[in-house]
Amino acid sequence: MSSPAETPRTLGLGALLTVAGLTALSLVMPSATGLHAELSKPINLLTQTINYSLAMENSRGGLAVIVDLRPTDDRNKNPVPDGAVIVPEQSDSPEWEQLTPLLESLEGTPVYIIFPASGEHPAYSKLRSLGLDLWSVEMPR
Amino acid sequence: MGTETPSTQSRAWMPLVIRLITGGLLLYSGWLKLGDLNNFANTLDTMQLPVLSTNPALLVLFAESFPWFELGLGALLLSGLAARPAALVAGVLFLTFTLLLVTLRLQGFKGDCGCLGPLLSSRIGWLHVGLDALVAAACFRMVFETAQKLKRTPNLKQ
Repeated sequence: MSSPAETPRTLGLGALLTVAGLTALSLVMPSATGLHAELSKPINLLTQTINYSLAMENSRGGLAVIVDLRPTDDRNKNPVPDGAVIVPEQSDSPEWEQLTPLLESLEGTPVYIIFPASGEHPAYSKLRSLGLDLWSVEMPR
Repeated sequence: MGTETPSTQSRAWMPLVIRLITGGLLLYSGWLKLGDLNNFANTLDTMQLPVLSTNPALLVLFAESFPWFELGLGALLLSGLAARPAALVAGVLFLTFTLLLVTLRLQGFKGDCGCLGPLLSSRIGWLHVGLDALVAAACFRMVFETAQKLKRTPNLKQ
């Protein structure tokens, strides 16, 4: 409750006390409730790129898997010749329950990602979190 | 004799609405994160935040503690206990979210927001930035307006 005599100073002090109290609460509660977080795997940064022809060749030879993150229209206009994995746009889609074990089984296999020409695909962070060997495919212009 | 104009009377409910919306958002957000702490930790990891990205133990501690901070703050706002300090803290928190999201967007980050789950598209967009900025502004406005009101009516207790 604010008192009539509240000044910016007392408001600041109140805010500091609030932060201190909430910080204490937030540090105690994980142990008190047993609710803990865990990092699954180290995340690979996507610094590797591969050209389109080589990506297709490796995919055809069974050496790698292609994940196509482009919008449906772009995929239909210019499909990946030998097929690609399509993932749902929403990271909380129920389809991920089936896809995740499949993708996790690709550990050690290069996974080539075809990104949308512009914009972003929310599944990308999901893919990154799986700790896969991710490569970005350089599309022909 | 009332000294308030009709416009100030009509805005008298604003602090309550701001408290309820902000408190509700914080409670919901904290509850969602507690439901899947590992996902929240991984989302933070993908964001490559300063300090946290190079210190996994600190990142995990932050990931499992932060939802409780949100829940506590949401509860304070909803209950009206220490409403102004809590609104000030919430304003700073949402302003921090706004700046973080703008930075991530400008860096071309392609990933989840980790904030409001199915209530909002999970990918970071300008809608997230706008929403956070709006909530921050509303909290600061509540703090400021209540201060003005206290000055005008010294005997008023909130």
